[in-house]
Amino acid sequence: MRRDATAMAGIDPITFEVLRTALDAVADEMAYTIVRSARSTMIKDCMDYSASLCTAQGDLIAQAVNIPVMMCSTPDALQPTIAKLGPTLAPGDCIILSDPYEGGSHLPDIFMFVPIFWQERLVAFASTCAHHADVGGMVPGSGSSDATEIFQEGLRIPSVKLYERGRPNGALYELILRNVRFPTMLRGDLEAQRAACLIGEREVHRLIERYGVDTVTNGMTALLDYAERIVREEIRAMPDGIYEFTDYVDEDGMDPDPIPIRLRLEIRGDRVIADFSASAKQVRGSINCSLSVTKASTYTAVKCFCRQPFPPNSGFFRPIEVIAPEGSLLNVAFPGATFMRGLTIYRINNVLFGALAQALPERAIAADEGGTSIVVMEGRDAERERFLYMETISGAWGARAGADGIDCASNVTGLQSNTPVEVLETEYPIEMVQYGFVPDSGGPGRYRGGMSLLREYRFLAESGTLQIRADRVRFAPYGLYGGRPGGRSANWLDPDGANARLDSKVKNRPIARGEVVRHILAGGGGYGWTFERDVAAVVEDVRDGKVSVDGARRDYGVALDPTTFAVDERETARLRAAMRAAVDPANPPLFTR
Amino acid sequence: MIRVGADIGGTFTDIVWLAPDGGFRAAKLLSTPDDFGRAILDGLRDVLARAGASPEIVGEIVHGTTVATNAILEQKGARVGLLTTKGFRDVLEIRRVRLPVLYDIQWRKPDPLVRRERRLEVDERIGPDGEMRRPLDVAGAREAIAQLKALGCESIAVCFLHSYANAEHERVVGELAARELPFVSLSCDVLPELKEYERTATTVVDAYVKPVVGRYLGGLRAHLDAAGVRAPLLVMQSNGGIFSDRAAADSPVRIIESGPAAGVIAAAAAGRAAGLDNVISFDMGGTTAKASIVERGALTLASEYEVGGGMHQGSRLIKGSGHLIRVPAIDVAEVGAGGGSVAWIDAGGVLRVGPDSAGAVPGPACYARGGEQPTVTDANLVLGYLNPGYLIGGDLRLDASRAERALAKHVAGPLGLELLEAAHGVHRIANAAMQRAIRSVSIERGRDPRDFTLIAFGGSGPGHAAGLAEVLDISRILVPPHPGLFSAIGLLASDIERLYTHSLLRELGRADLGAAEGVLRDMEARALADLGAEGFAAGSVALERFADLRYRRQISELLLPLPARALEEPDRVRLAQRFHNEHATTYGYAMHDERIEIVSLKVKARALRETTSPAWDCMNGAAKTGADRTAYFGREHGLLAVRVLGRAALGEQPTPGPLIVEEYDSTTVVPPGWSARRGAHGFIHIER
Repeated sequence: MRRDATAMAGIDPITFEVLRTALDAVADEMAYTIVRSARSTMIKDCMDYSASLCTAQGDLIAQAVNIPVMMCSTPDALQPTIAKLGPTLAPGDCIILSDPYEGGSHLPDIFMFVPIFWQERLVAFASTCAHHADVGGMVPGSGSSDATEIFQEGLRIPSVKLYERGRPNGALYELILRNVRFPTMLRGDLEAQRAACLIGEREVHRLIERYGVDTVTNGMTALLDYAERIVREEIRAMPDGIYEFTDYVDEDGMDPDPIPIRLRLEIRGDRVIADFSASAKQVRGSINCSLSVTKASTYTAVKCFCRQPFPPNSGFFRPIEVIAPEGSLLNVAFPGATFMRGLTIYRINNVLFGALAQALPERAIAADEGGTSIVVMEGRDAERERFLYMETISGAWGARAGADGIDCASNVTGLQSNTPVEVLETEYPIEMVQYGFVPDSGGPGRYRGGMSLLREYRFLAESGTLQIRADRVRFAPYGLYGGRPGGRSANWLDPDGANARLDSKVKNRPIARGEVVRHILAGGGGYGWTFERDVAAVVEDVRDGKVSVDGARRDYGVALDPTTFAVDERETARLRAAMRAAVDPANPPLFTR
Repeated sequence: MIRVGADIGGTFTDIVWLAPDGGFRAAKLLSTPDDFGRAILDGLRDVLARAGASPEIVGEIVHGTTVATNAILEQKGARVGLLTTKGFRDVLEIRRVRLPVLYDIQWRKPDPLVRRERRLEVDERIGPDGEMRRPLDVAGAREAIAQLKALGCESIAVCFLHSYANAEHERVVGELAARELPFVSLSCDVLPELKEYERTATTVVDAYVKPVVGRYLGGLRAHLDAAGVRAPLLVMQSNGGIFSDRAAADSPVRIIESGPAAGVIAAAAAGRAAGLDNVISFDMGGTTAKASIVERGALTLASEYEVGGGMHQGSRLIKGSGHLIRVPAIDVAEVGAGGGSVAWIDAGGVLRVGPDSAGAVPGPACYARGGEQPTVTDANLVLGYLNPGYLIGGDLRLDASRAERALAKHVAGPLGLELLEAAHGVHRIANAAMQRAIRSVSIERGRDPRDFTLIAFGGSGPGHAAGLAEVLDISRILVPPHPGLFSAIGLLASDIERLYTHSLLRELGRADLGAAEGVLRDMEARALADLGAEGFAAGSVALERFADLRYRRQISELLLPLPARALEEPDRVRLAQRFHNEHATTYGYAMHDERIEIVSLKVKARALRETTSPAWDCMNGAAKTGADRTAYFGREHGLLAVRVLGRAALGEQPTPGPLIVEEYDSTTVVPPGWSARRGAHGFIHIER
């Protein structure tokens, strides 16, 4: 197969392989440059950014080990830019873009493209995208769940040249920095993105010097075809059929109604058609998605269910069709707000995984934590200087057919990291009170879902504001084939005192010195009947305090001594027989939520 | 002073002996896994006897060991208990959250080295400036230690928040723990740096291997003392420097990559001698094959790495596949394929090689030590690459008929292949597996292996180098003298070195320079005391000062040298200027209006001493060689008559293959299509 692809492009197999890995290595080097020189915690600690290389036509060709959904939406951002600025592009240009109505994703994600030329010929683009801490708008950090139109969410940047032939556009730069709350941080982060793009340009030039421009560009084309061929073969091996699944976002923070995402997934031959037409209409709040991210989420999910490795480039998008009508939650119409659309992306993924679980039960995975939560705290520090702390919190995996869900690993579509407690406390007037697992929160099942995480902050500045974006408070992460749902998410204020419940979406709430905020992330769903879980595995979980003695009895029908952990075999057999009798063991439900 | 290098691998233990006049002696013995030190002692006795010398003549023993790595890979480290600040029991298991893979929903996360049951919390709190926010609950700490003891822990790791800024609570708990348990690792000693996960993980690895390493080095020292060898024992660190056995036992986390480091040091030295700036070191031993890159003469160092995560990864963004260790190490990729790797047929009827190894015991079938499974070495023997009678200059007898029987029974028979075809298949599959290690350090870092010279060593390296080079399209190979002892030689090419670091997050413009000077002086005093204890007077220690700087809130730093004198006021401006310049060079931009932070201060101490470096020319002793024979080079070439000669007999003009160069410790195979010549220092150059 690989030989076919290379023969067509006239490249020997070793050169093809070297090019493939070298392009990946370039994307990787770019990503490494961003993380090393960026400023905001969202980028440097949470790693909410990505780097990639694209062809001159705007096809994605190589990804760094970054956020899949961000990278897979790059072509939809770059192609309108090429259409708009194509003839004016010149070496040394550097284009930025954030407006979702011109190919962007949401306003804090600023794409940056550097066209790579070789002797007057445009051969590729170096591309980066990063979630910036603040781009203006009605609240610090720019994102509020109660924004109802995009103008409230900060500066809309159409595709414009921040640098032209190597020279910064001072007026544009000044205008941008004047409109954000932390101009030095934004400038540092934008320059980090540009440093990465320039490294991408330099490395692509090196490859061209080594192999020749035609070999490199033909190699890129061959890579696209190569990925397409493998993914078609993978889809062909999946059982044909129509698979339906629905899951919900609790609410958008504005209106109390649950928001359904309904998918009709058709696998036919070597094609996949994901039809989201029956999903919710566009909502008032800010969780609407541009079509580009709906598509990117679908590509990501399909790849997760493939067995063979293949390069994640635009070639593999070709057999996958995504349908979502304009004006709906999954294809926002102007001027809808989109800042919090990450939540919807994660739910799209839960829905796709639920549909694919029916086609390929042996590769299925129960629902994860439902996506990363975002916590934002803003105020003034001891020197009266304004600070903004923003972080993403993930993740618990759903249980798999044959394996427990992972206790804390980033969401597979998000691939983000955490902020070290010591970094947080050094740089901000915030104390972390605790950070750890919540007992009995992993969805029970033959295979247990991943544990909930708890993160608790004490605010040390005089006063400030708090925002939280969370979900999975009403609709718990589903379990599969008899597995139970994961523990629900919750937000609390002052948990050891008044212990007031906060909404899942906390909107610009004032916060004062000494106040403690607790965020609990949802747990992953379980897989398979709980009474079929290996008793020894339940005992191990109890020893580790991941399942309580009561939880072992209630959820798994395992009775054990609270101090010695010795199992009461007779009682356990009785409890489990009763649990089995209450269900139809041979016909577990597809999902439980 | 006679210097001795002792390198222990999974199969062989190598001893080299270097006299001030360049005199060179060596011994190669089968490793003794029940007590690795025994082979060192036997080898030492052997070279002493051949030199007619008494044990006192040995001035220094430099040791490279895989004992710490093996403890992790084989999960045979200590049962560790971990004490953390209240509220942070799960830091070790949560890690940095991020996945090492994209698009893989079947991924399994490695179990933490300390399960949750053995991770207990202590009520205490230090703030980021080192201020005490909550006092230490001493009674609670005692109780937790007792509980860990009751759970069978023999080693305790302590990692409290912000202990790099104020270590008092850790020290108090460390003393309490030391009264109850033999091994204690404090994070303020192991890695006094910001970031609790990295510090905890590194401290836990230290605690996990400490009893194993301590017992091992203690046993070895006892063996040496008993044999009358009083010479100091030095141990290779992961970064290629060496330090005393006592220091290694105190800080075993620094020797995790000790074994692989020595070979890369040797390859860099050989590359320098041959005038080659860009080399790939390729080390194939009995159990594994390892590769590393020397680019423009410089070793590739990683500031942190993971062990136990399977295949070494090329990307520096990939984290979370193994156990994190934040200690500088030479960047080495390793795969489970070596001379002792077992060939087998999998469920799908496909021929596979490794990762199981016959090791030293029972060893390949041809060793006639009870091994029944065919190995790569057996295949090489059947192919005619190895001398049919013996290895290691006659010290190890080989039984070719056993190799043939094992291959016929387990490979050729089940696959319905001719014996030679089967043997050649095993050889080629081993090459295919080993190329992954080279890819991981070259292609996966965007470097083209064709721009490098392969330096092949280890007992089996020179026999596989040409076949491997063909897979990767590499056209130049260098085989140094004594390839089978090369890592042991590398041990003698290293310096005694210590690195000290202290986190001190301050704004450059406002930092208290007096306090910074105090921190630097403290580290220098520690360095002089540590090296003094190893016999180096203050005058024979070179000290260098460094600072890690960054723009405010960046995640990574740039290391700048500091002047070798007390810090003074104008240094602020000078440092800032140097930092802006360095940042512009590294990232293409500088921000002159942004604040700069000092993140940590560092001191590097190196012992200045008169030592003998390996003199390559003295190592080309004549070796007994076998007779010309026939060897098989695949269907394309078939069975060919091959000249067998010693290194000294190889001419300076290229001789076309097929050709076999037989030596005491290794056999070099030059297949048809390649030619070999002897260059300066006796290096064999194989080219095509």
